[in-house]
Amino acid sequence: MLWEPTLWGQLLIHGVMLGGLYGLLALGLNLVFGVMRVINFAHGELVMLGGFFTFWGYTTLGIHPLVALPFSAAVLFGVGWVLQRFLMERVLGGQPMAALLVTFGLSLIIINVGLLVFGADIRSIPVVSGTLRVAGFVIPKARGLAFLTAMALTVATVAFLRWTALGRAIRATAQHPEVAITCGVDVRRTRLVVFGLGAALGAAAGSLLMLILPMDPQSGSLLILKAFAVIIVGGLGSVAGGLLGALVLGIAEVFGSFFIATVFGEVMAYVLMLLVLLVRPAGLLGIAER
Amino acid sequence: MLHVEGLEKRFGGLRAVNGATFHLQPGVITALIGPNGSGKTTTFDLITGNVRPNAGVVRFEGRDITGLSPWQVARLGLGRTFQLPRLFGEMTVLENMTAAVREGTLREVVRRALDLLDFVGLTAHANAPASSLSYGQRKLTELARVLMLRPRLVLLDEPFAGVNPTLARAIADRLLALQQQGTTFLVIDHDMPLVMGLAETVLVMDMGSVIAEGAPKDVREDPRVREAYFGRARQ
Amino acid sequence: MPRALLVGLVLGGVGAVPLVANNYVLSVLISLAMFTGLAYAWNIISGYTGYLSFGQVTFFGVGAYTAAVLIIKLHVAWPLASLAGGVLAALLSVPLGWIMLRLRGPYFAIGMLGLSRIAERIAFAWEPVTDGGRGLYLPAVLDLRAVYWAMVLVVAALVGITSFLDNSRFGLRLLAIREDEGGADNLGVNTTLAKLQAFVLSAFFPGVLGGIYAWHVSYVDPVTAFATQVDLTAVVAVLLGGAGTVWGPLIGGVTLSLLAEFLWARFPFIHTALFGALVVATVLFLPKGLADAFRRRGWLAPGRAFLRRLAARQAPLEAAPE
Repeated sequence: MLWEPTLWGQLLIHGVMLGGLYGLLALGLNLVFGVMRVINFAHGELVMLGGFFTFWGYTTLGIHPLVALPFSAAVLFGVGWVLQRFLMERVLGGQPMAALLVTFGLSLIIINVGLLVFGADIRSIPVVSGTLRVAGFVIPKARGLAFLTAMALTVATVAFLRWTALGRAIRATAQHPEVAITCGVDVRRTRLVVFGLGAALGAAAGSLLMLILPMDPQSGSLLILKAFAVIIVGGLGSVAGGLLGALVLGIAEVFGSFFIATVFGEVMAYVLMLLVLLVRPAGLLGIAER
Repeated sequence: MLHVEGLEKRFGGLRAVNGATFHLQPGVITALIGPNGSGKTTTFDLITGNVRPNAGVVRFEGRDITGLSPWQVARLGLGRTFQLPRLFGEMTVLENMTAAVREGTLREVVRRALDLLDFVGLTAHANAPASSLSYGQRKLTELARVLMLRPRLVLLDEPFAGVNPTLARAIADRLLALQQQGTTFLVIDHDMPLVMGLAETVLVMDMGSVIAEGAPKDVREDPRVREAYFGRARQ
Repeated sequence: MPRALLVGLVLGGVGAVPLVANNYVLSVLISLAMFTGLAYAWNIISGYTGYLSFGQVTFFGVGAYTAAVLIIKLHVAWPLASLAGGVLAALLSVPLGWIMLRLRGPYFAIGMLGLSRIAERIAFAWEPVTDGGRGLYLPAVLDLRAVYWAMVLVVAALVGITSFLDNSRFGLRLLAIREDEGGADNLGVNTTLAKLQAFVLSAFFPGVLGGIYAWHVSYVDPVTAFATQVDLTAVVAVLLGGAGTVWGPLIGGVTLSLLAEFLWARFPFIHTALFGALVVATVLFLPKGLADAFRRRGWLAPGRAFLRRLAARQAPLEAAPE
């Protein structure tokens, strides 16, 4: 093992940057779970869709990804809203596995749509390239940009949840739907918003991911596993936990890739997830469910 | 029969059970009462192994059962019902009755199940899915089901809750009949007249520990018990 | 007609098919049999026990690789190699199940999915044994009849086992776990053991099927051995046919195959979407599957009749018909 502060520092920075991105990836999933207690199996596909939408904006219309991102998020917000309104509302409150299966079926439909519209090739958005030297460390510009944007969006979301009326309504619904109703919160509309928001955040994550990683329409399943691992490790339903989990995962993946093998870097997420599920199911910051 | 000593359970900062100690005599119906949140159901959970205690000992028929898994406790002859009846919804009543029974031939098991269903008056529903039963019927089925295991001690968590007076009386009568045959019961409930009339001994819990124990009429007059329920009298 | 005779006739009929069918038909039937077998195995841990697994393909792949390695490197005959594949899968499922079955609901589902992804990665990385991404090449197979019979045998065994499960107290225990695991615990059911037994059963048969599959296609690589598509097909087949029933997996498997032949062969580009739509439609409109719909129409006898029959015999005046 090389004990070299520069190396470890470099890896740490990369890990943190990746973690920040993963945090955004998982944020949407975590919100949906927190409010509706449903694991949206189609989240990975929504992420992918958002990413490809931005890709299309860049390659077909020449729009810079960061400019296309809000549009992609808006479109996916609408998609999420519609899905919640016409599909998810029907399975909520029933068997818990019904919702999982429905979102699973949904994910397949979206994959197919993606394949038909965009083809099966792996794409990315190499709009930014080159590196920066900051304090003696090398930072790829694309990663840095993606990381900063992801952090900005995450902070904005947390602020939204904390300080706006709608955000408070969402948190209230997440904690106690029945009580929220009696306080005058339109719980159904809140759910629509949350699912849309989850999709929008996913779209943002997808757009940013495409700046640094190649993706194809079938990447969704790997993404959902990553996102799921993040919120399991960090603690379901806890936003802060999600961020912490993302950080842990990002760092673990980078270090694992470097010191063991690239293959095992990817597997780190699943391994960590399984470990947490078995040893401390509540996750790092989650609420123990018993 | 059942000896509980110094049972403790903390959930985070909350002491749900705080040094509970009591002993049950065999063949007796004992009531466990106390204000909401006094730790009664948690005590049940600790006895049956659903929850691990932070401290304390549970001894059943001379055997230390502290920390055993629920299924082990059940197999030792200690049964339990829940506040909200838990049945196997997609299975028929008869299947509910027989699913957990291992001993005996199928014929014998079905025979006993039908007898018990007859005992609670639900024979006509033997082949109905459990999800189709009314609330009162579910409570009866849950009772009959736990009796299939031939338990010597049964912990009943609010058997009379949400049940109309006639049915409650019917349940109480059956408990008495079973007690005559030697089964011991520990009953949590809030229906005071019914449970005081049914039980020989009453245990009162407050804030996680047992604050009084004795015959119903003695407990009723006990100032500590009154204080637990109604608060301290103003001078 | 006495049951044994009926079963014998059906098996005989099914077994006689290769005598009249050509290789193309046999291929289709082999595929049908394999997915039906996988469906039956999935049905045990997921349909009956209620632990929906999205990663049973892990054991399929283990079986495929085990058989392939035994055939290539030790020249073991393929039936024995397939059986060994099943045995290894079963052995592996004990510690894996011990760990994974602690998870409930969606955590178990996704945990198993993660497991299958890890398995695929291991297959890529463990080059000395698996030859990594290049895959393992087996001798070509010309006689499909033996493959067909092997697959059918496995399916027949699974139908038999499921039928036994449906009429036994062990089956009731599994259903109890599905309906209310905590409640079952409190009634004295050793749920940990029962779950594990179901899990091992539903790992052994995919292992065997994987071995036969490896021999059939003469090639094993990480992607095909651990393909999520395999899990998907089994899951959809059981959901469609009816989880927790004896005939559900068969009905679902056959229906899916028919759909594949007539619908998706014509529209290959929306194959995945149709699968997804099928899942959504089944969950929303046919939550108990086709078997239940058939049962309500009277085309199929209700399952788990053994208790009903016993009760009727013992108290003919009191036990009411359902």
